Amino acid sequence: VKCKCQMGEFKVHRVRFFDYMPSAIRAMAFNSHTERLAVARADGAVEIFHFADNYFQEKVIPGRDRRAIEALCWVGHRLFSAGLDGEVTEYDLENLRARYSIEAYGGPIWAISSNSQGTLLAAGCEDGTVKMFEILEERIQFQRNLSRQNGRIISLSWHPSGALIAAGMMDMVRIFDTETGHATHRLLVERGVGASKSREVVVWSVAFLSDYTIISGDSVGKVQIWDGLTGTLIRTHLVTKWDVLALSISQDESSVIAGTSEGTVVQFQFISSTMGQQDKHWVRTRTFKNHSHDVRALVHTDTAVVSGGMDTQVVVRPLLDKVEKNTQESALRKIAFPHRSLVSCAKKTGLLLFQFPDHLELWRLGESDGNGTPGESLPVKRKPEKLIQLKRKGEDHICCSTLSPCGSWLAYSTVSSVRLYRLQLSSNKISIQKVSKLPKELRSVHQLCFSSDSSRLFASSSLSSVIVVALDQTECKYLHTLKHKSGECC
Amino acid sequence: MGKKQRGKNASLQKKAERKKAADDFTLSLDSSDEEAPEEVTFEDSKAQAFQSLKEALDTARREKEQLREKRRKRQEFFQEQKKNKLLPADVLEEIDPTPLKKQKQSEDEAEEDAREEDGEKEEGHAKERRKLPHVRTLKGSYTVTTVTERKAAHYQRQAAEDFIRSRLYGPGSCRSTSNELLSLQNKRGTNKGAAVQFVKKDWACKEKAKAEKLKKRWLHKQQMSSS
Repeated sequence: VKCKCQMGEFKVHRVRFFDYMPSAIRAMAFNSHTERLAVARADGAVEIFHFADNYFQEKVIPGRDRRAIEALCWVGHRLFSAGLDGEVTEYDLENLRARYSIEAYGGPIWAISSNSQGTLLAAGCEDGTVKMFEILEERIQFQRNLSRQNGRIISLSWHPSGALIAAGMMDMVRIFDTETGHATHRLLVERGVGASKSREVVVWSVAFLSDYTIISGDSVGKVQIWDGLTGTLIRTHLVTKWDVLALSISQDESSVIAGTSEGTVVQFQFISSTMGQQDKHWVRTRTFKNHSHDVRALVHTDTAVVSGGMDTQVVVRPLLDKVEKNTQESALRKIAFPHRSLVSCAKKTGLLLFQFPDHLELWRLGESDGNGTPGESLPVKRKPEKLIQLKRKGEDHICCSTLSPCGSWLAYSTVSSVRLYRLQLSSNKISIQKVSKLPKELRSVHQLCFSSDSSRLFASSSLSSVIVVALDQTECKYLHTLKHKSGECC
Repeated sequence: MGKKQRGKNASLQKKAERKKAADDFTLSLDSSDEEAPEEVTFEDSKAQAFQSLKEALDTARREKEQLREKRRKRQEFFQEQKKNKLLPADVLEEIDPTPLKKQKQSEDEAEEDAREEDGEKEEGHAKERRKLPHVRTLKGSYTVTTVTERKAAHYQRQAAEDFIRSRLYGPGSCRSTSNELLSLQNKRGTNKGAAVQFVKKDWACKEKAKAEKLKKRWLHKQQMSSS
């Protein structure tokens, strides 16, 4: 396409060959004090969105092979995750990597949750145990198991007092006394009708309220309200024909949202049927249809319903009784694309570098020699061509990548290493050569950038410092580090 | 007190005692129902009681002893097994130069047997594990590696993944493919079109290739039959 503007005429390349494939959202957790939303994706990546800063995707911790996160949990400013690899991981949000992982020895972990005091972390495991970890200053330490059950623990919810825990399992919800470790009540969840009667019902999510009400969402599509003290069922709401995969309660416990396999989010509110009356019930109020696929993660903030699932988008739906209508605040937000570029361009040689989690692709742009009027589509003489596909080494996913403007250097990094390659592009052939000896200062790097004359490589490192490296014909030498003024990390 | 009955054998005497003791027990399987119950002296019955008590205590003690014996034997067996599982003492010394505890002495006996089979195992492992990372080579022909894959954990993880896959995508989940969804949209829309795999060039490549092959084969068969 040819385009004319004040700066002169130039050709616009429309690139449709970047097969970017986003990853499904598996879990979310909101930190109301810092207004950060943590999102865990199916490929093991963890993203942090800053809600107060226009929902900016502040941080991205790349995933890794074999890491399958099932649950996320904030404890103060610390972020923990657990998953099918059977480990509880704490993240270093300054250096954007996992700080450490500890094996729970209970098999795959399906749920983690901390008590409101922030002293204990409970993990629901495949082997039927709820494992308690003490949250210490620099780490967590295994304390004890609660009484082991016969089925897997799928979901967990602490009572705000910390004395009881509700665990969603197969066919039932178990209530544990956290002090003695014994199960006190068993809430039996009814199976489906007809063909589904022979299949166990999975209690995908539970919520324990301060007045000892327990709300459960299961695979038959029911949202059930129970009395946690007597262990009896109060009310059943059939919300969908398929699964209710996620639940979230609001801070003031007056509203609950349930996410379904159909992509809908249903809201229940604790209100009285007639104005002014004292008897309140949980009544189904709103239904939101903002997703095309299953909703697997939900967060109920003070003003909005945040949902995410298999369609990979984070949807923020402000509640119109909490925000002013028809303002920017009340608008529906869909966060669909990454906020950092996955494409680098070598302007002088017309090369594009596409970043995928497990490999990089180097393409050469197509060419057209036609002349035409502005706005016209020009005929393509030479089609765009994929020159190189570079697979990454190791298990960590690619964090960042970049091409030098001259097109002769390519660099990428993971949380554990940095790799630099020399490219030589002649008329028909391209050769790529790895630069083997890199300065040891280039280790855990989140951003890479070449200088405009391609003589320097800048790398952002820990403690907000920038490492400057000089590039020569085939080698690279460490020059110096630009440190943050105050010497502290921001 | 009545005089002791002589001439009656012990079993009858015992039966009589039982009869006497169970006052309310009217049913009796005894054939000698008509006879009057025998009188037994107090000393006799006391002696009998003591005897039975002593026997009970004896059996209890004997059982306890037996259990203890059994437990001791099992413990020993486990110890033996554990010793056999460990590598011979000198191999362990090389790997970790801190001195071993008392086990070392008892290991010397187990060494002879264990050495042979461990020697083989070592070699085999050394050969396999040379490919894996985190290998530390020591003096001699020993290598120390960290085990990266744990079979049992892997199996459990696989089971968990299968569970969630079958729940979300398995039978009963009523899902359709995007091909189906878009094809239906095409066919029901205002501008009716064909199913998506015919509209988009790069969809369903494998099916198209298979269809091509089948077509070729059919044409070939037609030619053969006509010729």
